[in-house]
Formats: sequence, C-alpha cells, structure tokens
Amino acid sequence: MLAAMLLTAAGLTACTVTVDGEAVPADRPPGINVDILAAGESVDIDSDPGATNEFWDDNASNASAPEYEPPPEGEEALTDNPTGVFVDPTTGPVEAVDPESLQDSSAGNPFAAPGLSGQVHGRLYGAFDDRTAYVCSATVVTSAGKNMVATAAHCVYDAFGKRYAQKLQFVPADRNQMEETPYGIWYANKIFAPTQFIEQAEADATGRTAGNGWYYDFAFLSMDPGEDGQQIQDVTGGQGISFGGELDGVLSIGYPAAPPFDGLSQRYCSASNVADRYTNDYVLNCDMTGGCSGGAWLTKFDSTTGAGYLIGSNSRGGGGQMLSAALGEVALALYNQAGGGA
Amino acid sequence: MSRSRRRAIVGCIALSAVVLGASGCATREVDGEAHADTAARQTFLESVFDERFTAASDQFTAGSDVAGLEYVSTVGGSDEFDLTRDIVLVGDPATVVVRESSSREGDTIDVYHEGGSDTDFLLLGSLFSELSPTLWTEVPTVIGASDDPCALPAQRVFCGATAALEAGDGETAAIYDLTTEDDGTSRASVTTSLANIVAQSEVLALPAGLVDPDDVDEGATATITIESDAEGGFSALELSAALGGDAGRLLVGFTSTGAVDPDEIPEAPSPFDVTTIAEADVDTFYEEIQRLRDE
Repeated sequence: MLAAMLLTAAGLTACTVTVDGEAVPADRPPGINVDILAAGESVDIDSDPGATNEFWDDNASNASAPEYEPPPEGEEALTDNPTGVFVDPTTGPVEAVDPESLQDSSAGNPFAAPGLSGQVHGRLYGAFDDRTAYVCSATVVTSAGKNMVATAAHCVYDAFGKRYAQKLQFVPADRNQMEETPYGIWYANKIFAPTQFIEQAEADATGRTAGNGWYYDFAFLSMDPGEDGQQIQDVTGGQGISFGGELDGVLSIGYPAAPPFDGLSQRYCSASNVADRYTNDYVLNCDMTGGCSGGAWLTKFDSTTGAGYLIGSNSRGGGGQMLSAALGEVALALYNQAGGGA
Repeated sequence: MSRSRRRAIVGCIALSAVVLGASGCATREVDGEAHADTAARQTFLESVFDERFTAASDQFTAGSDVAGLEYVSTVGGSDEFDLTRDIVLVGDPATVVVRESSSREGDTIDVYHEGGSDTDFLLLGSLFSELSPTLWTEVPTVIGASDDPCALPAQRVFCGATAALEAGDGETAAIYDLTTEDDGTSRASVTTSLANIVAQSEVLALPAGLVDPDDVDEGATATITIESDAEGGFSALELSAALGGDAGRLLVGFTSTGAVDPDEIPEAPSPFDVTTIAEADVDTFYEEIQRLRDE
C-alpha cells in the first residue's frame, strides 16, 4: 500500500525532450521519406520462432496487461510536439470519412474490421519472464522496411520490473486466441521504445502508474520476415501513421481480455473527436479493459477501405475512459530510428 | 392497452349479451325473451365493422407514422409462446424500427431499415450469435424490396386480416358483433375460420412451426376484432382462434401506442458494428437462422 502511494505520488517533473533534426511540416508531400530525427532506446530480443511458439503453446491464456489509471490531473502540460508529418496507409491517402462512422460508441462492441483493418490489427503475445505471460494489441504501420508493428511501450517494457519483454509474437487478425491466424504469426526481433518511457514511467505491482514517461507510451517493433522472406507489410498491408495533425473522428481497436471481455475478438470504441490533449494524452470514453493495450487509435478512418492514420495506442484506462499518448516529435524520431523513414 | 386487457378482447366478445332489441313497442308485460331482428342487426354491425376496418386500413396504408406493438402469442395451452415486436414506422418511404422480445430466449431479430435504403440492418439475438461477429448484420432489404405495404410491420396485420376475411368459406356466414365499455371504448368483431388465418401465415409473419396447417380443424372459428377508443379512433386489431386440443389460443395483433416519439428513431448502426452479408450468401444466411431455430 505504501509503495502504491509513493508511486502514485511520484512527481510529474518537466521532461526535456532533445530532438535533433527537423520535423516535416504537413504541407510537404507525405510519404515515408521523412527526416531522420532523434533516437529512442532499442533492444534486441529473442526472436527464435520455434522457441516463441512453443512458449505460447504452453502459456497461451487470457492473461492481460495490467489495467492502468490515469495520471494525476492538474500537472504541467507536456506535449510530444505535433509535427504535421504523416505517412499514408498502403492503400493510399484517405480522402473521405463516412459521417456515420463518427458515432460515439464506448461499450467495446465487436469490431467489423472492414478492408485493411481486417488485416493489420492483431494481438501481441509477450512475456517478461518464463512465468509472466501477457497479451496486448498492436498494428502494422506503413514503413520503409515493411516490417514495423506499433504498440504501447508498456506492452514491451515492464515499468515495474524495469525489464524488456521477450518472446514477442504478433498475430494479425487473431481470432479465438490463435485458433485462426489468417495472416500468420510474426516474431519481433527488436523493440524501439522512447527513452522518456524507459526512464520516467513508473508502475507498482498493482498496475498503478506514475511519472512523465506515460505520456510517451508508444513503441515500435521490428519484425522478422516470414519463412518465405516476405515482410509482414507485404502480407497484411500497413495503416498510415500521423505524428500530430488534424483529427477527423477517432477509432480505438483492441483485444480486451479482462472481464467482461474475453480477448477472443477485436473490439472498438469510437467518437467524433477526443478531448483535447490531457497533458500529453488523448482521452476517449471507452469501456475496453486490459488486453486492449497497444491497440490502435486511428483518425481519418475510412469505414469502407478500413484504412486510416495511427495517432496513438491504448495506454491507460479506468472509470470508462481510455487514454492514449499522442504521437508527435518523439514518436517520429523513434519511427525513423526503427527504419520507418527512408 | 395492457397485454391482459388486449387478450381479454376475445373473452369480452364471447360474454357480451345480444340484447339490443327491446324497443318501446311493448305495452304490457309478457313472459319470454326479447328477439332482435337478427338479420338487420348483423347488417348494421357489418357496416360498423367495415367502416372502422376500412378507416384504420386507410390510415395505415397512407404512409402515416405508426408506433405500436405487434404480437404473436399462443396462450392457455401446454406450450405457451409470446413474440412481441415494438414497431415504429416513420416517413414515406418508411424508416422502420422493429425491436423484438420473445419467450424463446435469444430468438429475436431486431430490424432497422432506413426509408429508401436497399439494405436492412438486423440485430440478431443470442441464439444466432454464431452467424455474425458484430452486433448488426446488413442484408439486402426485405422491408423495402417492394412497394407492397403489406411487407411493412403493423400494416401486414391489416393485410392478413383483409385476406382472411376475403377468403371466407362460401358456406358459413360471418357473425358480427359490437360491444362498448363504460369508458367509451368499443370492439367490433367478425368471425372467419382459423384456416383462413393460418393461410396468411407468411403475410402475418407467424414464426415457422407455430401453427401446423395440417393440424388445423376445418371447422375451427377465428375472430377478427378491431378496438376503437371513445372517439372512434383506431386502438388495436387482433386475430384470435382456439387452436384445439391442448394447444391453447392463437393471438395475432397490433396495438397502437399513439403518436411516434422522434426519440424512438435511432441512428443507423455504426459501420464498425456491421457485418455485411453478400447477396450470394443471403439464402444460406437465412437457412442458418432456420436451422438454429429448429435445433
């Protein structure tokens, strides 16, 4: 209890983000040839497909990542500065958004997963050690290397135990806990997480969070190619990604596994807009539970083609609200470091 | 009108006394019963029924907004059944919202049809959950597939009643009746045969298997009753008949719930909640619904 109080009370000190280089403004031609900016932290992980698969055969369950509570309000506003940079989905620019798709929906209904969205969003299985299996959600995003998956930093780095995940495998369009794997199983070989999260995100054993690092709760994974040498993006396509720009509707997708959900299928929340950035977070009314962490937050989502732009991922929630760190300058730097850009 | 009251319509008719004839001709007391001019009375009651039925039918087929409860029940038998549809029709072509509740758990299909759309959205009950991963399922429209008003909920009850009355049997004369309550509400009724009602199963959207046409007694009588409020406005229409044996009584009807509340018209489902059934797969989809009902 004392530990929990201490962690919750941890100060939200100012975070200095050092970024070399130049953000690409929105009026520059979009694409993946964005400037290489600053570096985050990366770590190689075990990507032995055989070992990973065997681990999950033995440990697959509905274990879910911890539920997190929002950080204290009223603290100094922090912002991962919006850059206006965006990368289009592999299906091309999204031109129009169906107004009917902008309805507010917070219940976590099953997601219809039209078009591209039925291929690129999936479930991320991970473990921090041989006994701690968990599940998150993740998304293939368009990248130069065609091998990039976006998720939440806390899905790949344990802010309590201060350790990286191992045995990360991603199952696009997972259904019924890998009973159906229409686009295969993909193994991560490298994690890219923001230094801010690694150094400043705190959590206790119950999942209570503290620290400025949670405003940078995003990460990228580099994936091994498939057995035939194909990159994941060649198989699934990739969603677009926006590093701070205008929003047109917000859609959150994930695999909530904690009750009342079962983690067996994709669910969603949506709104015509999200609340203004709460410090560095987007906020959405949403009842999804643990397991949806890392799932995509998309804007300008075309409900016919299933294409949109990633603006964040499910991070923390509680009391009917979900938060997402907003992708901006730091996220762009990390994306480039991970090989997303040129 | 409450469910119990609605279902009392038939009972009230059966119990009502036929005592209209005692005019002021008698000058002295006599023993015996009064005898009305039955033929004249039937002619009068027929005109009352026809007038009310026609007025209500015209109202429903004129594209008016409608809100009410459509129901199909069997009561008083060994295996009771109840299906109630809360119905709203607005506009022309009509936007239709149907919310079902059923005594068969999970065996419900709610419908949202936007006027003029070529699709219907179905909200499948839990019995059919395996057929669609999302809350709503989009199928080519049935409601808007033709200009036939009899395809619309509520209106189809009038269509079924009309067809049953027109069918007759050529031998048995219809019997008309009229009762009036103290509060001014009244019920005009006419008899037809159960077979005529069952022959309209499709129009009336009776659940498959609820009444087996082969089990219908040729001589079984049915009653069609139209209820009016104190001002003569339409309140309810009910078709009813004893099914014979221990099957109880069949009740099919529609009860108006008054003016349409705009708040009862929901938005179209979010596209994120919708699975679309392709034209080529629709037959299989409906076959699967029937299979699940038969299990």
